[in-house]
Amino acid sequence: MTGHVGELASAYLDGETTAEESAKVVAHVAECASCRDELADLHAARSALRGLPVLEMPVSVMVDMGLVPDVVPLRRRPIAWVAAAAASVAIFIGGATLAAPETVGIPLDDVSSQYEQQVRIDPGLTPPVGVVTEPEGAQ
Amino acid sequence: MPENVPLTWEEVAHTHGRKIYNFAYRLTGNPDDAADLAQEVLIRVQRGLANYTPGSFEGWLWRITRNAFLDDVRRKKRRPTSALPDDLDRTNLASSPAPDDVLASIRLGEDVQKALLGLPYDFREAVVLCDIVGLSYDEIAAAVAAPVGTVRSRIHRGRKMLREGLS
Repeated sequence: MTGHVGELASAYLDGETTAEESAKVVAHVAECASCRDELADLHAARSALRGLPVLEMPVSVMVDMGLVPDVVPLRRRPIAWVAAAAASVAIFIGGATLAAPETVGIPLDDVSSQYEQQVRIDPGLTPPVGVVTEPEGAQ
Repeated sequence: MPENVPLTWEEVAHTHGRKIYNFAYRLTGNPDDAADLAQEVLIRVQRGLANYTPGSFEGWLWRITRNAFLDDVRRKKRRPTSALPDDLDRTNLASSPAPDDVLASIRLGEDVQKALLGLPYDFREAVVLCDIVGLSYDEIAAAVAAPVGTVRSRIHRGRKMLREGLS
């Protein structure tokens, strides 16, 4: 080190310098504009890294490792009561002339994998929420 | 505090799994590679935990993680650098309209990731272990089997290169 703080600058930012080294950095930076600039650059790089979003481990890994139960088969199961409820509504309104509304399979896998992709980029993303409907016979 | 309470594998996985995944993702820039690597590390931890002797747990864990990563690189015969998928911007940004500040933050994150992938492996590993995983210099030195002075130098040079890559 030829007078300038050099590698001590990063260590100083990380609290990895001795008291003596810290004092040296503080005293030098007060007098040296180029080291002041370098310290600011290092601080910016450090902050950029520390500001990266924390990503969640994919559920697939957790499932494969047995850390969480496999809920995929449940997601793929057709929602039988939706079709039953739709048919009963058609009948109730006297619907010989009315076809039961076509039930559209909810692509939960697509929605969840799309969300999983996006949340990697933006961990604060709100999860998709669907309309909650009451099953047939519920009040 | 009870003495000699053995760590269970599930505890390690739940406590450190996310950090392992983030380490892998930031080193590879690829979510699939990162998931494969995280799984491989957890398997190795599961096998190795029985023989773990109390000491620097962080050093032990990150040595396993690092070795798994380097083995993976050797197995795939690719350099430990890979770029982000070319279509990342289009697929993820175009399909998710978001306020300007959120988009700016996403783009900044991608810029940082790209700059990170441009660093030589030793420097990238050092800054990731320090700034993403949050290890101390001593813990990093134990994980990468290098003197603390070398770790200090790599972190410093890695940050300088990253700053240049971002400007």
